[in-house]
Parts: sequence; C-alpha cells; structure tokens
Amino acid sequence: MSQSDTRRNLGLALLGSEITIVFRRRRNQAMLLALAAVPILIAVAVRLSSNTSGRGPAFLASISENGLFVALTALTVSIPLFLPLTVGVVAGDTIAGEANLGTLRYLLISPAGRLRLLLVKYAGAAAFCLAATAIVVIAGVAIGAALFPVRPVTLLSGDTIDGAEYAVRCLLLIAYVSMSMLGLSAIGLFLSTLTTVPVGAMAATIVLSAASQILDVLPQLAWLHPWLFSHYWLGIADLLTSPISFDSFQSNALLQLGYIAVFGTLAYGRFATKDVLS
Amino acid sequence: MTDGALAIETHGLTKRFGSQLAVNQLDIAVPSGSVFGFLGPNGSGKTTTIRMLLGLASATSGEIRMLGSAMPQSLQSVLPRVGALVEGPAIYPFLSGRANLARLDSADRFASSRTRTARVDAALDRVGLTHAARKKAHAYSLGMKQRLGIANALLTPRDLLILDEPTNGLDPQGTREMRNLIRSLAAEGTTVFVSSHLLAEIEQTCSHVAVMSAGRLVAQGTLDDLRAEGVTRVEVRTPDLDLAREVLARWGLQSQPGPIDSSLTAALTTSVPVEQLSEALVIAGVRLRGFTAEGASLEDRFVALTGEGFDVAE
Amino acid sequence: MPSKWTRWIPAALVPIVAVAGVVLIPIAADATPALPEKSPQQLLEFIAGSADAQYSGTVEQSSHLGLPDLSSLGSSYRGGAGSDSPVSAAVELLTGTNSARVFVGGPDTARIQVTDTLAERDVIRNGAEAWTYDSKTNAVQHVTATPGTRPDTGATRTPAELATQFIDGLEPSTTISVTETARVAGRAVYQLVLTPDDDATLVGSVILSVDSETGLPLDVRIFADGQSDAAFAVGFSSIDFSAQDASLFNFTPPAGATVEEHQVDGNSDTAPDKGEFTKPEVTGAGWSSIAELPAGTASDLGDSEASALLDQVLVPVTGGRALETSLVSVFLANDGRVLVGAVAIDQLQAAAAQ
Ligand SMILES: Nc1ncnc2c1ncn2[C@@H]1O[C@H](COP(=O)(O)OP(=O)(O)O)[C@@H](O)[C@H]1O
Ligand SMILES: [Mg+2]
Repeated sequence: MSQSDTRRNLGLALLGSEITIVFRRRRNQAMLLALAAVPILIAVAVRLSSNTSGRGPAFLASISENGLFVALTALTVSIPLFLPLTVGVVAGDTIAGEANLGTLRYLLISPAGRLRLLLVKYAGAAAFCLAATAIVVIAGVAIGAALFPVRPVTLLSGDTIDGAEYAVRCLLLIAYVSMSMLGLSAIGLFLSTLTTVPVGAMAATIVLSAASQILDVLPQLAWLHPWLFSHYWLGIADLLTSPISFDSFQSNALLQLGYIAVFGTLAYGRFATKDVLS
Repeated sequence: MTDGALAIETHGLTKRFGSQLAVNQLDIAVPSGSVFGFLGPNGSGKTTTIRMLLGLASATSGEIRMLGSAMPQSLQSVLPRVGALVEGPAIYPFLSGRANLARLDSADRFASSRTRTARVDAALDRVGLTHAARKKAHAYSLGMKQRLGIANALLTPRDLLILDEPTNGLDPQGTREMRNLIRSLAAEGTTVFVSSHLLAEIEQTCSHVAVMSAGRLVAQGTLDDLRAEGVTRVEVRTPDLDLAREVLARWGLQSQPGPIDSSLTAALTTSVPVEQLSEALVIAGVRLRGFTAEGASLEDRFVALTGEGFDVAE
Repeated sequence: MPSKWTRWIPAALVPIVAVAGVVLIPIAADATPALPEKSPQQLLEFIAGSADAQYSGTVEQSSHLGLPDLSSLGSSYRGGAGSDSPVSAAVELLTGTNSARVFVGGPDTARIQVTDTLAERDVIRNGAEAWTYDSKTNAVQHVTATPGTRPDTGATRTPAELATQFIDGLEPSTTISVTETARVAGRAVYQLVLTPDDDATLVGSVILSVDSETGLPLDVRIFADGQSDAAFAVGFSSIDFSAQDASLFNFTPPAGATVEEHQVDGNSDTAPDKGEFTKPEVTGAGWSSIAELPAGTASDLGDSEASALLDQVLVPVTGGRALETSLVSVFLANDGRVLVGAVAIDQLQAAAAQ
C-alpha cells in the first residue's frame, strides 16, 4: 500500500467545491433571483406611475430622472431586510446544513480539517454576500438603463459625475454592502456550529439582524449603537457624496472585522471541540 | 504491512453521554491485514467507537492508536489513509453521484485534483454505480446510496477501511457483492474493520472478531478462537462409563447418559479446555471409542454473549 | 490529546485584545503633549494667523442642555420632510449629536456638508458667491453678494468662525487664561479658557482648543455654571491640513434642480432664507445680554407641529411660559414677546417687565 501522492496541496479544491455548491443550490439561486427582482419591481413600478410624480422618497423621484439610481434605491430597500435574510439563510446553513445531511462527518474524515472547513465555509458565505449585493446593483443598473434615460448622475452633494466614475462608485457600493454583511455571516457561522438543525441557525441569524437594527434606532441605547453590526449598513451615502468619504467605510470595516474576529473564534472554539454525532 | 503490527489499538477507551456509558473501557487490537468483525446488537456502542477512532467524537478517556500513530493527534496525517462508512451513507441530494464523490474527495488535501475524475469514476465502477453516476443523488435508492458511501471510502488506495454496517439496505445480490468486495480488498492487503449486528455477515468474511454488548467488549480473537470458546458439550463414547463419569466429576462436570448406550454427555458450564479433558480421560485409563466436543453454533454463542432478543441495549 | 479548552483560547483573547485596543489606544494618545508655552495674547494672535489655513475634516456638534428627550415627539423632525421648519432645525441642533464635513480652501472658500440618512445639505462659499444645495428637495439657492461682503452661510459654522465670534465678543468682563495642553482629532492643542467674571450668566466657561501647529481652533466647548460636561460643543473629530482642490468650491447646479437666485446688498447682512425675521433688540451687556423679539414672534413659530413641541418643553411661569436649559433661557411673555439670554429665567422676566 503506498501513498501515490503524499504531498499536501493547498486545498483550494475544497474552496472551489464549496463555492460551486453555494451557487448551484436551487434555494440559493432562487434567493439571488428574488434579490434581482427588487430593482426590477421598483423600476417597473416607478415607470408605470411616473406621471404621478412628486410623492414618495426622494430617491424614487430620482429614478425616473436617471436610470442609474435604480440600483441605489434597490440597495437601500434590500439592506434592512432582504439582504440579511438571504445572507442569514446561507450563513446559518454553513455547518448545520452539512451536519443535517450527515455529510459533515464525511468531510471531516476526508479529512477536511475542522479549522480549514470552517474557513472554507465562511469564504463560501462571504462569496454569497458579494454575489447577492452585486446582483442587486447589476440588475438595477441594467433595468434602469432599459427603462429610463441614462444621464450623468447627480450625487447627494449636487455634483455631477460621468459614467466611468459612476461605475467606480457602483463597485464601491458593492464592496461596502457586501462587507457590511460579513459580520452577520460570522454570527451565522457561529450559530451554525451550535446545532444540527439548519433552520434554527438561519432563523436565529435573521432574528439577530432584525434585533440589531431595532436597537440601533432606540435613542435610549445610543451608547450601544456604534457597536451594533448593522450600525453602518446604510452608510452608503458616504460613497455618493463628493468628494467621496471613506469614513463610514473605515468604521464599518473595523466593526465588521471585530465581529468576524469575535464570532469566528467562537465558532472555532465550538466547532473544534464539538462531537460530530449526526 | 509488517506482520504483527496493529492497524487499530485501543486502551481503556470510554465514551460517556451524560450518565450513560456508550463505550466502556474498550481494549481492542486489530491486526494489520485482518478482516476484523465488530459485532454487537443495536446500541452496543459500535458506531460510537468508530466515531472516536475517526476523530469525530472525542473519547471521555482512553487511548487510540491507528496505523501506528496516536489519535487524535495524528488525525490529519492518518485519515487520508483510512476510508470509512459511518452510520450509513450521507449525500448531497442536489448533486449527482459523481459530484457527491468529487465534493468529498476535494476535502482531502492529499488527493490530487488532476486525478480526481479518474478516481471518482474508478470508485463508482467498483461499486457498480457507473450507470447512475449522472443522476441526482436524491433519486438514489437506499442501496445505491449505500454503494455511493462505499465508493467514497474507496476514492484513494487505503491502508484501512472502517465500514459501519456496510450491508444495511443492500439487497441479497448487493450483500454478496459487498462480501466479495471486502475479500478482494483484504487480498490487496487492506485491513478491513467492519461492524455489524448480523453474525452471518461477519462469519462469512472475517478472520477476527470482537463482540460488544452494552458498551463492553465481551469477546475478542480469531473466528476460530471464538468457535473453540463456544464448545458447550462433550460426548464420551467408552465402555468404562463409571470411570469416565468419575473423571468428569473431578472437573466439576455433571454427566448424563448419552444418545447411545455406551456414551456420556456433559455440558460445559465453566470454560474447560477440551484438550486437557481428553488427556485426563486417557491418563485415567478410560478406553475411548470416541470423544466429541460439540460447539454451539456461533449464533448461539453470540446470543449467549450479548443476550437474547432484539432489545436494544440501553 | 491537547486539552480541549485550548481551542477556546482565541475566542477568549479576541475580546480582551479588542477591549484593550478600544480602551488603551485613546488613553495612550490622550496624554497632554508637551508644547512650548504661549500666553493668551500669543495664542489669540496665533489663531488670527490661521485664517488662510486649508483643511478638511469632520466636525461634530453635540448639546447637553438638559432638555427633555424630544426624539419621540420629534421623530418627524429627524430627516423627515418637515425638517425644514426653523423649530425642527433648532431641535436637531439642540438635542443629540450632529456631524458635518467641512472643506476650507482659504479665507473665502469653504464647503460644508451636513449628511443625513441618504440625504445631504451642502453650503458652498466661493468668494462673493454662495450656493446651498439640498438633495432631498433637489433645490439650489444661489447667493451673489456685491464685492466686499461676506454672505452669511447659515447657522452651521466652522470652529474658526465660532472662535472669532467669541474673541470679538471678549470684554474686560472675561478672564482669559491658557490651561494644559490636550489632543483634539489626534492633534496636539493649546486650550484657551474664557471665564465670565459676570455672575449673572449661566455660562461657566468656554474652552477653545487651538491646533499647536497651525493655530486653527479645532474645538469649542461651552460649559454651563457648575457642569463638568460641555453643554454645547462643536469641534473636529478628524482633520487633515492638506491643500484643497479648487473644483470642490465650483458648484454647478445639477440638471433638473430648482434654482433660486438671491442678491445680497453689501450693507445688509440679511440671510437669504430668513429675510422675514425682525431684528432683535438687545439689552444688557456681555455674557448676560438679553435679546428681545417683539410681540407676535411666538405665534409666527406656531405651525401645529412646532406648537406641540413648544408645549412639551415650556413650563408656565409668572407672566408667561419659559424654557430653562443649562446654558440658555427662553421666556415667552403672555403678550407674545420672546426673550432669550444666557441667564436665569427671573432675569428674563425682569427684563420683560421693564
Ligand atoms: N448523541 C448521542 N447522545 C446520547 N447518547 C447516544 C448518542 N449517540 C449514541 N448514544 C447512545 O450510545 C449507545 C451506543 O450507540 P451506538 O454506538 O450508535 O450503537 P451501535 O452503533 O452499536 O448500534 C446507545 O445506547 C445510544 O443510545
Ligand atoms: Mg450503529
């Protein structure tokens, strides 16, 4: 009996496999499609009612003037609920889903290595965050261009930018919003190590995201606000001003990093010591 | 494989779930190259033991050595050499059979990505699933899933295979194929550790056996040893019936008249070495026409060791 | 097997490191930096010399005036459509924390951006021109002044402007001293303390933090008598002294915006959108001066939202209703006059009776 290949490879194959699985699951594909439907519904609704203008939030009005704003509006609409919902489903499913299928034991005896599996699972969830945000923005830009005139974009500060710069801002928006979801994903990952029932971990993650947003608007808890992982979720306005401000970006990155560190290490502590009995 | 080396060795292995001892002070020794049957009724602690061997569950106390290395410290270097089926197969229902195997193979850092497709196809072929390789696994029958699980254990050449109840859900045809598979793997030099609650399965394939009951090891050895230990009755044919009765009584055995006139039978209550008994008879001057050690069937033996009936040990 | 609990060590260490980072880093940076000594006079000159500074930064303003919590009542005032009324704007300023981005490109170019949830108000000053832009209404106001005048750009002021205002108002009735150094927005600062000698005022002291390298006032804090927390503070939370791009101050109204043009005469300092207010009459002097607005002012404020708000904060006193904060008192006389001053209510009542 001989080992034909005793060299360890980097193990990127597992990462590739994880990402493939995340995006090949019907459920996840359906969630991405639902997210893509958000800008489409908004754009169509505005298009159909565009003669009765004047009412509604300022952004809805801007849409009919400039199609590129569809993406932004869709993002704003998705951030409080739809995005954390889908991210919660994927993050809560990471470990608990494998445990529920029983495949967790086969991954571990393969052996995937518990830390490596945890990292790969988190990377898969992070990839989903990126895709979920990107699909909202891309679908928004596309449907906006199809239904409305595309003109130079007016920023919140009243300055006008051209298409190229708008593309840069769109990419920054995607980066910002997907980064915003990383802390929540880490929480989901941790909750997912606690149970073999994926729905439980998903629901708990989603409930926490709602709780964080509720706490964030209670003025009595102002001292707590900067520590809530959802505190900077709507800080995207910073990317739409001129000159661009990276204050929210920085604070948000630091905050999300903190959540990743805290819940990532908790997830490791739990997962590395846990008996896999499913 | 070096002769006499042990593929699996445990000392005082114990697993406690709350107040329940699922595995209690287990000492097993699985010789390299053997086909080792791990026998015990449902709930006797077989799967729990296998989980501890594979590092899925941590032992409450005790030591494990597998393929010469202490576990679970050397898990990451030992596990690539071990193929396993634990508590039935597990599948990703939304992936095809082939994609299922590729997924689990990609988790093994020693498995080369270049040869993955070839190895997956070879494993599927070995368990006879080639025709269903592209089918989504949720459409697989129980037996097909079981085969897929076995294929996963065979993705790379292994030094040790640990198969937990591998024939569960297989049809008679599949059961026979499984037996042949185990034999052919053993012939290649792979040590096979196979658990079962069915004696017949173990009896037909294994060279060694360990018997579990309620978390404890109740017997261990070669299948022949176990058969020998299973001798329950001797029949002595001799004209010197009184003398023979006297000798047997000295060994503490109650004798009855045998099936024919000039014979005696005695039930072995304690374990009496049969060869010493026959020697004693000869030395005492008993003229033997015949001396038969009657073994209970292994099945009786198994039932005697583990208790009657289908009660799940609790 | 290495003990299982070792796997929990990272999870235990991370919060310790995080807390240490959050608590210790500010402590380490808050040390009072050693700076060459300056007298109050030298410091005032230093400030005066900073008028040409170019910088950008974030300004934060907070008030702890001891007002009741208005946020429940004023939810429609926060970022809602109603936030353009003067009362709600005042509520915004007087309760909680506000922040703005400030860009200053020299003595007569500046841009202030007040950000809200997905909205922004901009005030841009460029020489004799000034613009305001409100992203919610997509409305632009364009103010052109005859040369030599300085358009009033509204209530939000940079620390430099506020400092100048305080220095201009300095009188013999104020003790000026320099206290120990400190840090503001990560920069070493001198602290100038103005203490009113006048006992009648509610103002305890004013502390002005002056950047030790540029002389720019970075922070102004007004303390009420006997309070340890500033009743009103405005200052930089971050600042960067690099040259500003001139294009920042060249504003072109976006397509589709409504533009309103205003001409400001050199001799008048009437603000564009406050033209209707009558000039107050000031009595008293120095820190305890009282401003009196004639009869009718109170009812002018009274849209229904505003009067609901006023009802909540005003308490009945002899001769009218009053609001007393730790720093400022407001008295609404029964005849409709409004008196405001940094003094106790009885002084306002006395002034009203005269
Ligand atoms: N996760 C668990 N929690 C508590 N008890 C368990 C768990 N898994 C197994 N057991 C108990 O341990 C004993 C041995 O189970 P197991 O090893 O699965 O038996 P076998 O595989 O021999 O049928 C049983 O009594 C079972 O009830
Ligand atoms: Mg079992």
